[in-house]
Amino acid sequence: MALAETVIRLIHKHQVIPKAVRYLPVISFLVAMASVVWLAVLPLEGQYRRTYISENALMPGQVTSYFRESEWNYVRGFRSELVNMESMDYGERQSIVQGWLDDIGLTTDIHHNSVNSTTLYGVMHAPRGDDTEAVVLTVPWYTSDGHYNVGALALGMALMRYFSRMSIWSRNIVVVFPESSRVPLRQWVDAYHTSLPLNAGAIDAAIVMEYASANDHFDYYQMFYEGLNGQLPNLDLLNTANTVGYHENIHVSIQDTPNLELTKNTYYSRLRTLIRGIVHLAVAGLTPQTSKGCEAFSGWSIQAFTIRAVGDEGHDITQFGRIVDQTFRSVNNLLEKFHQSFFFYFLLSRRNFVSIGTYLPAAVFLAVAYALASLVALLGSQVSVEAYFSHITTTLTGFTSIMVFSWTMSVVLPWIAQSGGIVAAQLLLVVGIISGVVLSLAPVTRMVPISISRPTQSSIIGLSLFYISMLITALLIVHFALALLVGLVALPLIFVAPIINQGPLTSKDRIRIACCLAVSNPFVAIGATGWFTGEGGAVLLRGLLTAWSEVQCWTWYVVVLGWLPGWLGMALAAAVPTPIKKTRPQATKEVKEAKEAKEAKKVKAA
Amino acid sequence: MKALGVLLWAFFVVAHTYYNESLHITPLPRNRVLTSFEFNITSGVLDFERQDVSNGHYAYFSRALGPVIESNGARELHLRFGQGWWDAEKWGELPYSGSKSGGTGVEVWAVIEAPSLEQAKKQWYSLTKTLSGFFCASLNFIDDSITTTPKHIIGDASTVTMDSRNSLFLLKAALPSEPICTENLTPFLKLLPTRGKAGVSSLLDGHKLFDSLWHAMSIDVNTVCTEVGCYLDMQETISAVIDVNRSIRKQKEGGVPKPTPGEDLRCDSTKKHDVWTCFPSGEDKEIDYSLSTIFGRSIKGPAFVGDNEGTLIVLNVHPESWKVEFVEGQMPVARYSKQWTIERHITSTEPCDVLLSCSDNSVTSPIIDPPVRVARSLTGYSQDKGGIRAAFTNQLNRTSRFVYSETLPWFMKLHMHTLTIVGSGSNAESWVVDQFYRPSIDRTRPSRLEFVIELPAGATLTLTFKFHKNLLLIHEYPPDANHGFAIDPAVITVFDASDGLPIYEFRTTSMLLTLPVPDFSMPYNVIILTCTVMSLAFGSIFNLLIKKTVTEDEYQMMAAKSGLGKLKQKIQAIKRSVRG
Repeated sequence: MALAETVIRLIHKHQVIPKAVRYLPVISFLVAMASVVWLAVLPLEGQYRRTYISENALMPGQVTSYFRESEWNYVRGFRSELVNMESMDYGERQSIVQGWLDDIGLTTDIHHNSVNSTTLYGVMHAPRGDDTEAVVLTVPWYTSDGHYNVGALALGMALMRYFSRMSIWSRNIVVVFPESSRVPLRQWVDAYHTSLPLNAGAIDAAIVMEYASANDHFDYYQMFYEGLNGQLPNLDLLNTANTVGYHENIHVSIQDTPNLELTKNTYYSRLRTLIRGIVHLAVAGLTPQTSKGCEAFSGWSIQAFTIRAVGDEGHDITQFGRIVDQTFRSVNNLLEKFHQSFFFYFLLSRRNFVSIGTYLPAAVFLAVAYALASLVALLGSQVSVEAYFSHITTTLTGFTSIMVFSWTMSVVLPWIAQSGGIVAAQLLLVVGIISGVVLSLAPVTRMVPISISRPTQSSIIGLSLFYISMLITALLIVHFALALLVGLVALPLIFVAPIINQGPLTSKDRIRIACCLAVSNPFVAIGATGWFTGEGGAVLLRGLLTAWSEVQCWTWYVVVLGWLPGWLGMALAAAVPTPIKKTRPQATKEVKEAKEAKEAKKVKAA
Repeated sequence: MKALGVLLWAFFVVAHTYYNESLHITPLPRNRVLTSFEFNITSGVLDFERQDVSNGHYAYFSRALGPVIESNGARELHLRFGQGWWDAEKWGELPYSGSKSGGTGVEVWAVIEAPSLEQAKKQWYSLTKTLSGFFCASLNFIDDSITTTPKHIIGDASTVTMDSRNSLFLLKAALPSEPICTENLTPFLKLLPTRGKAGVSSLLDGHKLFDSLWHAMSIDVNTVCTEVGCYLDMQETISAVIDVNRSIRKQKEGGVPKPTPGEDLRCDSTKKHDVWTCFPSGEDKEIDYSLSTIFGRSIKGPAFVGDNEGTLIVLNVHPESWKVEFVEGQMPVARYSKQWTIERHITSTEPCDVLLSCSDNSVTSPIIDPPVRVARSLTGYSQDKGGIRAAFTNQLNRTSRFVYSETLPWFMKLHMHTLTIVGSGSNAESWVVDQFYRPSIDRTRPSRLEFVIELPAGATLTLTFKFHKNLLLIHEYPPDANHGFAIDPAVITVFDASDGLPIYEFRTTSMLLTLPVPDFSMPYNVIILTCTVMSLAFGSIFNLLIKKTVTEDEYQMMAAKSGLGKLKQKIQAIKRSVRG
C-alpha cells in the first residue's frame, strides 16, 4: 500500500501520464514490434524446448514390428492389383477392395455422402476388446494433390491384413477409404458420430497415409498435423510417430522443409519452420491444397496426423508401414485418452517445440498495441470527454450499421460462392478488392460517402481499433495463428489515427492514410495471400466462404465479423475531411503548466 | 408306512442331488469354433427352519457358495462375466438364446427375500461383498448409485418365498469396465465338484480360454421347490469363440506374429505372383484340428468314474463337410460323419480327445440370425452434453416384441423431451408400445429406461435422446478419469408373440462416456493462488492498521528530525564550512 502510494506520488511528480499520452503512438508501434521480436526470439537457443514423451504408457519404438520381410510381398501383391485398377470405375474399385476387406474378416459398410461420393470403411473388432475405443487408418483414393494414392492403398491393405493376425489389440481398428481426404472424409467422421450403422466406439487417434507412387522405396516422409480452427493433435502422438521414424532411421519433413534441409537445425531453419507453422495453421482446411486429411478429424477430441512418403529411393516401403504399425501399438498401450503433453504448440524441428505459454505473449503484445492505438485516437484528438458523450449516439449507430452490414455479408457471400462456383468467387474477389481500394482512396479522392463530426470520427476510429484488439484477445488462445496473422496484416491501421490527429492533412498525409487502409483491407490481403501461395485469391476466397458448410471451419466469420467491421470503421471515419486547426495538443499544455509551477517553486526556494 | 416315507424322502434327496456336465462344440464360418461348457449341480433339500443342512446337501453343491446364498435370503442369484464382441452377423444367435451371456464386464442380479426393500438392499450388499472376494471381481463397488430394480423382469422368475410375510425383490447391478481375466476362471472351477481335475472342465485353461475372440461365463442359482422340499439348482456355463487359425499358429510358431517365411507364402495364382510379389489367397478350405489344438489339453476321463451318463460331448457340424473322430488314449474309438449332431458320453478314464476334420470350412451348420439387431452409440462431441442413439432392425418376417432397457449413471442427466422416434414406417411412434422411466437421483440412484417395442417385419426404428453431463466431486473421479466412464450395456429381451415368454436376450456393447475431467494439479494451484491472495490481503490490511499516513511535507520534516536526517544535516554543515 505504501509502495503504491510512493509510486503514484512519483508518477504525479514526473508528469508521467501527459508524457505517455504524447508518446502513445510510438509506444503502440513499439509494442506491436515487440510482438514480432518475441516471435523471432523463440527459435534462439535456450528459448525453445526439446520434445519428449509425456505419457509413459506410450513407450514408442519399444516393440519389434513384424511388418517386414514377406509382408513386403503382400504389399506388392496388393499394389500390382491396385495399379491395374486405376482405370476402373470408382464404384467397381471400391467393391473389389470391399471384397478384400471381407476376406480378411473385417465388417464393412459404405457411407454415402452429400457430394455424390461413397466412402468404404471396415471395422476390425479387437479380439476380447470391450468395443468402446478405436483407432482409425485412413487411406484416401486420391491424395490431397489429386494423385492416385496407390502406394498407400497397398500398404493400408497389407497393414489391415497384418493387424488382423495379431491378438494384442485392445482397441478396434477402423480403416477408411474416402475418395479424397477433404469433404468425403469430413462427412464420414461426422456420420460416424451421428448415424453410421457400424460403430467401433470412441476414436482415440487417426492416421492418414499418402504415397502416390507404385515404387518400392521412399526417401523421407512428410508430416502434416494442423487441425481446423486452431486445433492441433496432442504433441505426444506426433512425438510417438517421429520417435518410431527416428528408430527406423527415416528423416521427417515438418512444415514443407525441403529434402536438403532435413538434418539442418539452425536458427533460420527453426524460424522458417515456425513461420510456416503459423501460416499453415491459420489457413488449414480452407482449400484442397491446405487440407491434408488430418483436419477432417478435428472437433471430436480425436488426435490425427497425415504422413506422406516422398521420393522413390532409400528406405523400403514397409518401413513407412511400420511407422503406422508402431504408432498404433503405442496408442493401443494407452489406458487413458491423450491428455498429458501439449495441445497448443509450434514445432520448430522434429525435436524442438515451443509451447503456448512461450509464444502467447506475441499475440498479447499485438492486442495491447491495438488497444493503445485506440487510446491514441481518443486522447490525441483534442476532443473533450463531453463532446464524446454528446456524440455517442451517432458513434454507436454508425458502428452498429457497420456490424449489420458485416453480418449481412457473412451470410450473403457464402451463399453466392456456394451457388456460383469459382467464377462467383473470382467476381467477389474483384468486387471486394475494387471496393476496398476505392474506399481506401476516399481520403485522397475526397469522394466522401458520408459526413460526420470530429468527435464521432475519433470515437469510431477508437472503437474500431479497440474492436480488433478485443478480437485478437478473444482468439489468441483458441486460434493463435489466426489472431496473430490478422493482427499483423491489419497493423497499418494503427498509423491512421496519429496522422489524422496531426491536424490539417496534407496530400501526402492523405496518400499515407490511403496506403495504410488499402494494405490492411481483408480482400486485398486474401488476394495477396492467394497470389503469394500460388493458389490464386479466388480459390482461397472460395475456400474461406465454403469452409464452414463443408468442413465446419470458422475462419471466414473471424474475417467478416472481426476484421472487416474494424477495417470498415477505420476507412469510413478516415475518409471524412474534417479540417482541424493546428494547435499544440492538450497534453503539452499540461506540461507547460507543470513547468511554470516548477519554475515558480524554484524561484520561491531561491 | 413310516419307514416307506423315510425311504421315499431319502430317494428324493438322492435323486435331487445330481451333477452332470456337457461340452458343445459348434464350428463357425471363417475357422472359428464356439465351445460351450455346461455344468448342472443340484443341492440336497434345504431345511430353512433349522437353518441347517441335511447330509446330502453339499454332496456336489459348493460348500462355500451355499451358505452365502442362504444367509442372505437370495432365492435366485445370477452372475455374468463377459468380454469381447459377439459378431451376430457371422455367428448368428448367442449360445443358450443369449440367456447365459451378459455384457462386457460383470453383471449380477438376485431375487432376494426380505420384509422390506431396505432390508433387501442390506442383504444385497452383504451378498455382493461376499461374492466380490469369492470371484475376484470388484463386486464390492456395487452401491446405491448403480443398483437398479428392473420393471420388466430379466430371465424367468418362478421363485416362492419361504416366509409368507416376506416379499421378493429383484436387484441388479453391472460393472462394465471390469476386465475379465484368468483369476475369474479359477473360482468358477472351484465351484465344481471335479475342481477342474476331471471331466470336460479339465480342458479349461485360462491362457487358452482368454485368448478367445469372445467369452462369457455365467452362474445361475435358483431355489426350486417340490413336494418334498426346496433345493438349490445351479447351472454354470463357460462359452468361448476361438480363432482356430490362431490356435494352430500358436502351437506351430509360438505367440509372436512373425512374417511368414517366403516358401510358406500362400499366393493367389490367378493374380500376379513371383518371388517378390504375392497377393494373399483366401484361407485353406481344408482344416483339421482337435480339442488339444484349441485348449492345449485333452479331457481327463469322465467327471466321476463309473458315472456313464455324467459327461457328454455334443458336436453340431454340417454333415457334408465335417468328420469327427474320438480318440481315447492313442486309440481312435469312434468315427462320425454325415451327421448333424454327434453326441457321445465319456466313460473311459483314458485321456480323451476329439478330432475334427473338414473338407470345406465355409460349410457349417446353419447360422440362425438373431431376431433383432441393434446399433447403439454415443453422439455429439461437446464436454457438457451428448446423446444416445439406438437403432433396431427386425430380422424376422413377423412382428417382434421386445424390451429395450438402459441403466444410465446419475451423472448422465437425461432430457426425455428430446426423445425422437424415427422408423421405416410412418406410424413408427406407435411401435413403442410402452415406456418406463425412473429418473436418477444424484449419487443414490441410476436412471432406468425401458421401452417395450413391437417392430413389424423387416422394419427399422431409431431412438435418440440427449443428456447433459454432470460435474463430479474431485474424489468421485476414478484414478483413470481420462479413460472415460463405462456405460452399462443395454439389454434387449425378445418375447414370443404367442405366450409372451422371453425367447432371446442380448446386450449391446458398453460405451465410453468422456466427462469433463479437471487437471488434477488444479487443487494445488488453487491452494497456492488462494494463499497468495490471502497473504497480499493480509499484508495490505496489516499495513493500513499499523502504518501512519503522512503528507509529503510532514514526511520531510520527520525525515529531517530522524537520526539519519540529523547526520545528513551535519555533513552538509561541514561541507558548507569547508567550502567556506
